[in-house]
Amino acid sequence: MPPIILTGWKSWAVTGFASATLFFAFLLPITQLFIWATQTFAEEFNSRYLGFLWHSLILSVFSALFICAVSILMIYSVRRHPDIVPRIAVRIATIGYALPGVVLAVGIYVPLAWVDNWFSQMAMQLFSIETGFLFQGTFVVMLIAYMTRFMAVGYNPIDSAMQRVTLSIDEASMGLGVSGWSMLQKVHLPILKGGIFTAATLVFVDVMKEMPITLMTRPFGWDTLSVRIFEMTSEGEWEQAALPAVVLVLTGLIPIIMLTRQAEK
Amino acid sequence: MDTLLLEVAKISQSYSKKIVVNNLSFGLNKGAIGCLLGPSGCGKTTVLRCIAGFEPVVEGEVLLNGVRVSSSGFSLRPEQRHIGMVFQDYALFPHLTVISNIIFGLHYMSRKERSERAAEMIEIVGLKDVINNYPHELSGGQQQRVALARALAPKPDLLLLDEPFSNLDVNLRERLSLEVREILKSQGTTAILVTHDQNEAFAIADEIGVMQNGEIMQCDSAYNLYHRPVSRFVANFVGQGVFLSGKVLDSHHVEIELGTLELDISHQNISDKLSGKGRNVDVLIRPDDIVHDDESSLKAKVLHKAFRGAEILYTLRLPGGSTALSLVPSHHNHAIGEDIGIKLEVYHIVAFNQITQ
Repeated sequence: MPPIILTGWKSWAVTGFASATLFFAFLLPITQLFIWATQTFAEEFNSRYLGFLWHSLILSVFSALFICAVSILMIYSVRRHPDIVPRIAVRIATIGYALPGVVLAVGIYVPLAWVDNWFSQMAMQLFSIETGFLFQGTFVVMLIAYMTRFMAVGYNPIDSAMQRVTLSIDEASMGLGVSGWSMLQKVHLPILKGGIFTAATLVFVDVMKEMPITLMTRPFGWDTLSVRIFEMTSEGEWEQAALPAVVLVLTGLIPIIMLTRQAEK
Repeated sequence: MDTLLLEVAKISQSYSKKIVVNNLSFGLNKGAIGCLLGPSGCGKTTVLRCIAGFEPVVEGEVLLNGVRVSSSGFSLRPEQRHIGMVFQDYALFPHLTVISNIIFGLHYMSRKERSERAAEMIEIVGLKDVINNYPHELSGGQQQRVALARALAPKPDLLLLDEPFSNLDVNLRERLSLEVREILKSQGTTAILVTHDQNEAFAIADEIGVMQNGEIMQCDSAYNLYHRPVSRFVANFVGQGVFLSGKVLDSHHVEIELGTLELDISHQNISDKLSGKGRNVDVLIRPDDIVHDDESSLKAKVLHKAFRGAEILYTLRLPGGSTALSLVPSHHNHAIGEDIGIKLEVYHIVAFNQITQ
């Protein structure tokens, strides 16, 4: 279908509508955030704030790496054993993204608390040891929780990159004397790296913005940007939520810029 | 000085109890181009993959230059066989340019040798203008050439081509298949082509094995497959034609409804078929066995015609009621329903026992 070229008032109307959406949905709120952020900057930008930023970054980076690694393992197992079992396993593993974050957070928190209680009771009764909580509030549990939630975000871009590595490409490579690690390095990695990079970025941004799971599974006192925003806004302290919010909005722009660049290619 | 390069001895392969290749054997001389021709699902690609080492053989063995590369429970790794392969989907590396694709298999050479060999291949397949392009920027025919150049660059002992032209349009297919034959012959490459398209097989191969249900039915030159098929399947699969029922008169004559056919004595092996005086047989009549002749008293009615440029393929009703095909030079243009004069010119009598119900 050829593009319809609008002229006169129609062109102004359409441009106006699109611009208004951009203005009300993005420019207006971000301007307000910036104003609040600058007003409160001197007061808010302190070592505590750097702590929130640091926690957010660490969680996002590690979950991005972890989820990409698990995605790659899953993709290769489906590829090596193309029967129904790994396929169903992948379906189940990626279902978390379809669930509301809060539901998943509760779903992770409740059994974890139960296991922790059971453990500490057993330890108390059998050996009279005070274990405290073993699992709740650990970094590993957070990673696993994020994985349950964001597996699909990491899996899909890598999986679609993998579609380009057909089985006959493997065979062509082997036939030309390049197999094993050398094939992964010279053929698979270069074809997959774009997908892996996209996956890692998307997970990074999603984990950065994630709130309910972080709130319920984080180590005690381990606030992140999103938790801070939640706490401030629930107390009606809009101005104090502004600085972390601006950072989140800017981070969220990364994948948009990246994806539009890719689309232009 | 014909030396046997490839020997496939009684190999069998099956997928979940379904036998795909059944006790199949053939050999290929150095420098020869062989072809496995057959309908889809006949097991031809599986044979190719067994030779390449992508699949094991359940029974039998594959020998390359006299060395066993596959047998029951043993399979030399594909990368150690020195066999090149052109895939049906070309399987070009999407992240590499044309030149890098071609160089890919030359990792054992020095940098200088590598670029020399790549330049040579580029020259042979005529891809000079696109060496820095990526595969997705090329046409189907160009991708095909890259695939061929990439497979030939390491000078493999044997080149395998799996339905290499099936993604190309018909014109290009014909042109490219002749070109590929020339390239292979000029390089002295031994090759096996797998296809379901007999024209492709005829254009490229020196020797063709016609396959059905995992077995080779006949292994012969294109000429012999067409004119001396050993079974009904081969007669039907290769070329066009009809069977007319006839009766063997003596070892050199067979009578069909259009008259008596005399066997050319030079084909002694075929005369074996004509043993059994008085036996009822089906005689294969090719479209080129029935010649149009206006003077002839023998008439047949035109049922259908297919214009083919230089020739017209007529479907005729013979006086006896049977149907036959005739290939006639195109300026003899007759209407459907017309009676036209025909003459038999059968040089090869191909007769099979009538199937008794």
